[in-house]
Amino acid sequence: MNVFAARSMARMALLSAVALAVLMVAGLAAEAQPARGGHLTVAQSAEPPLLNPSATTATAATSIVHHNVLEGLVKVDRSGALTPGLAESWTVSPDATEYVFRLRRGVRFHNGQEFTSADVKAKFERARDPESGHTNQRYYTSIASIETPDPYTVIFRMSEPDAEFLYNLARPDSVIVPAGTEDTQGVHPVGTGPFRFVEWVRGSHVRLERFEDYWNQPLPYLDSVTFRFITDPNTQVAALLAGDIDAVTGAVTAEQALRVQQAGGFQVIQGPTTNTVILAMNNSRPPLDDVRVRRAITHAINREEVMIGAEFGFGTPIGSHMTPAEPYYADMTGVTPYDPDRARALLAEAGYADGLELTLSLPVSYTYALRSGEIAAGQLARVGIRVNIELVEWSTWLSRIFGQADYDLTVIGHAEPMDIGIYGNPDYYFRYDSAAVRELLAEAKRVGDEERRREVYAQIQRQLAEDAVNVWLYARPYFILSRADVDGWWDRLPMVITDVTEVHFSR
Amino acid sequence: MQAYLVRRAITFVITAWLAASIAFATLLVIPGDPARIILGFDASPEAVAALERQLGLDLPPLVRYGQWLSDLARLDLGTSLVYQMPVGQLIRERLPVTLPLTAMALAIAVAIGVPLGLFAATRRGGAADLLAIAFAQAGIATPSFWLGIFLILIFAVRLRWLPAGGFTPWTQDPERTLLSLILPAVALGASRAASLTRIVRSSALEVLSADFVRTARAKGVPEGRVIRRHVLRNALVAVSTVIALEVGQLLAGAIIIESVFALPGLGALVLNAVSNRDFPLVQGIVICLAAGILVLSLITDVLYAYLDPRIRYS
Amino acid sequence: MNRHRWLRHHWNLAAGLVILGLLLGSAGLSFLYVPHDPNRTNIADRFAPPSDRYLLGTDQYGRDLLSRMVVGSRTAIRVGVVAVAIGLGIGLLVGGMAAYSGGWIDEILMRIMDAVAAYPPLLLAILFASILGPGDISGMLAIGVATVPVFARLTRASFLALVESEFVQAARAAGAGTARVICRHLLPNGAAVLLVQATTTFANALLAEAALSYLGLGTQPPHPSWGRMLREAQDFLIFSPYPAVFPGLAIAVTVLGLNLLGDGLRDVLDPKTRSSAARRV
Repeated sequence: MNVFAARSMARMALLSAVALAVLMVAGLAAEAQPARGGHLTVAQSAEPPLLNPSATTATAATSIVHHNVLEGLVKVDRSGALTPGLAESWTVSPDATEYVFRLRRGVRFHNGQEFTSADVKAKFERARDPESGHTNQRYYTSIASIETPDPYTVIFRMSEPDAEFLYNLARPDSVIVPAGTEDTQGVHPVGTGPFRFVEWVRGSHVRLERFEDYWNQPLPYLDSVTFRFITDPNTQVAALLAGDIDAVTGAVTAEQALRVQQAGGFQVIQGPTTNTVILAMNNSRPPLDDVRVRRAITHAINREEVMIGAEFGFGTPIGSHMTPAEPYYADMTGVTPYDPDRARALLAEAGYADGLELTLSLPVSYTYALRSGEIAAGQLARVGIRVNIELVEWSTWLSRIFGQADYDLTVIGHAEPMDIGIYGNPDYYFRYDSAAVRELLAEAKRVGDEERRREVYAQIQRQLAEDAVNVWLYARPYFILSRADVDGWWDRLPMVITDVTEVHFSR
Repeated sequence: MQAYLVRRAITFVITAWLAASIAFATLLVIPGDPARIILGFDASPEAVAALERQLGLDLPPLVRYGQWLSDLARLDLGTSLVYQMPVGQLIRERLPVTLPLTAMALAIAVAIGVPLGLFAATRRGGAADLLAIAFAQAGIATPSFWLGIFLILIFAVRLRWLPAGGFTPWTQDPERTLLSLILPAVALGASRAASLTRIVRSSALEVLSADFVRTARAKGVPEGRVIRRHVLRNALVAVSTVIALEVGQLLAGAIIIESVFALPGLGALVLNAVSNRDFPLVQGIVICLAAGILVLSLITDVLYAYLDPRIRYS
Repeated sequence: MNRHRWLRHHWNLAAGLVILGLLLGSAGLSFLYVPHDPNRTNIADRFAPPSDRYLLGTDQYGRDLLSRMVVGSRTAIRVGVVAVAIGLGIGLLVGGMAAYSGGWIDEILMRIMDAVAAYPPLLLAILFASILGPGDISGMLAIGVATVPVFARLTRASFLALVESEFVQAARAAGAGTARVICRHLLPNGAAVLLVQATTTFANALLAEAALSYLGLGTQPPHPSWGRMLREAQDFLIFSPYPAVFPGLAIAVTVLGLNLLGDGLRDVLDPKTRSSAARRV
């Protein structure tokens, strides 16, 4: 138990330091206008293949360009709420079949061109064209027509009610670029954001500079930003401590945070994310097609222990496929709580009193998944489920597990916000087929009334938890490690972005 | 001599073709689907199929092999699936990192290994010899990534003498570029220095006990001259014979060291290419590495013929 | 030579043998007794320092380090032995065939060997790991395959030298068959060089497994391997140094032992250095 205590003390120390940092930020904000100028170097672990978020879903790309270089009609703010982006205002018809956007006037792209409704139309015509190779086209399938009565008005008419459309417009896939530049966006992104793209030295860094004609003056505060790619987490921390870089963002781990915290003189910002870490089960493969077995597995898992082993206790335990950082979250951790005796009883009832054997496939590139998986395997062993661990590379995971559902169990984090809709697709790799959930999801998409939508989403979360489709382990914590004199970071991550628009040096 | 060179050139081409074909065959059996990796998590099967058509991945393997070989014959390495850029250009971009890194590591290895090995051999059995052996053994037994991390902790974090990682382009600030290569080159070169120490020591011991050295000594040739004329020369022959092998080891080691020190080199590129299943890029890098090593071994053979006294005296 | 003098001249052989003995002993012992289940996680006891209960402390999941180290020696032996078996087995076959057949068979075989040798071994290992999935099998295979050319060349060279030698000519003249010549005369005489190379390969295989583990392609969890333990512990250095120190030491000492063994064997088996050693005294 001594280590337990030591760990929670470490966590307490970190939390109070975070609180202190927040207080300091608040104090400074009250003082005066943040200082302008300066160059910021940020490290992130992965380098994207391309920088165009409508051609690649790599979060390494969106974290650099979304909000910083490229913007959409609607934006998510740091609390997760939808705010005006390139659209000044909008109206939605009560049945959610017509969206009218009033665009900002006088907005310029980085190439000098003026932003108009023609660019919006070109963007979404492409997004809904199945031949275009645009990412995540399911967000745009309900668009029936796009009208542009004048350069500053866009009307979307939907073929069916789509209450999620507004949220989808805030996603990185929906950024607006000058019409006709799509082919070069991957290597040279051009948008309307506060920073313009300067260079990409492959294997090394991406450099952005302040866009002087940004529509939302006086933002941004910084003169320039460099995103550097450093794979090894130990090297990231060393570079920060040595003063080579100013901050580490992206997939920062708890042990990195604790190390920087211990070194002193730096700030560690911690908050929630929408990254749902799950022990996914193949619902179509015996014995996992038996809900009693899936419930037994859920009862066998002690989420607190998983979080201690995988994230030093940071994160939030969850009981269904939504996180507290998402708008319609309902707490379902009580539906199938940790209860090894109940797990054994359920296994016996399902005919596995002598235990059973399952394979757990873990993606090697994700440390949190490896660690969660190893601990979960140990916990399952205690109720009589022998788990063989199999490591798979990410590409193999994508083609074999995600593509063909050839697996028993796996652990992975679903980083995308508001992605509960995947449970309506029986071909998704969980192979979960429930008419009831499909009907509820369709209703959630239809209803315009907020209260009713909240109720429907809560019902979906409860149904999933009762069917024990997966074991929802925890929502991943979010860390930014930064020099003490850099302020304006987001303290939570409602979408996978590193928004540096308001980041500044304090003097 | 000319006939020898022609023969070597022909075998070089055949060996390079074999090495390239091994790479092609390997990549055919690797599971994983580049189109899905490019499109990501939630790509529809139709989109994946469309991209595969676009990238030519739906063609039968033999057709792809033929295409690739004929491109290769024109020195065209193809286009990277993920970066959508010519493979040749991607490799050229990385050479300013990996070549200096490897060269520096090799220089460190030779600069430490040769004198230390000679020194140890001349004091065989003494305390100095023992220390040299201990260094050599420790150097070989330490995993390079482990050494790299400790070097960062000491020289970058604690002492702040050198950068912890990353790379400044040569055109921007050559001095800083050089500084950023020092730690990785030491981490990479240490185990090679250790192995060279052993090789030089044992070859020197062999020479020291050879008849012609004993004759020279008996004739009263000064010890320093014996060392320079005979022992050093033979030690260099020994080093030159393993240099191609050592460079191969260094290039392999660079894969790990570049990832420890966040260097945008060939090793980092190949690691990425393999995990992205970027087949043309992997093949291109493999061919370049293999060709480099084969060229080196060709040079070694010629050098060997030049340096080895037995061949010259005959 | 009395025993004292033997030890003085062959201290490296003796030290190598002792270390190898320790490795084999701990692997053997692990079948009979380990203090704790090496794979049992116990979050409450994580990062425990060495104590009566956990002699070497525990790792990030509260698993007993000593038990994992001891069971890990089995992995080390398996990785080394399989790598050597592949390298030596195929190398012997290819080298022997090349030397014995000569002509175009020799030429083709040796060109293929050149092609394989042109691959950096770690790259080969990464490719294998991609085909077979991550795990120690890919590491063993890759190191084995990567050393095939070395063994083949050594075999071929020593066979060629011996085939021409007088006593093999004599055996042939006396009517000894091919197999008999190979088994009775060629193998024992080439054995010295190959044995030395085998110890080096064994050591390299251990280091390669650690390198593959660094890249996340090594042994499958939860099975303990020193390379993987070292890699995992590296992230937790500030919480507890023990999980990194002990496996690191184990790798270093084992590699050291194997190299000493190789050096010692060379001294004993190679007539040239043996005579020189005798002369210097």
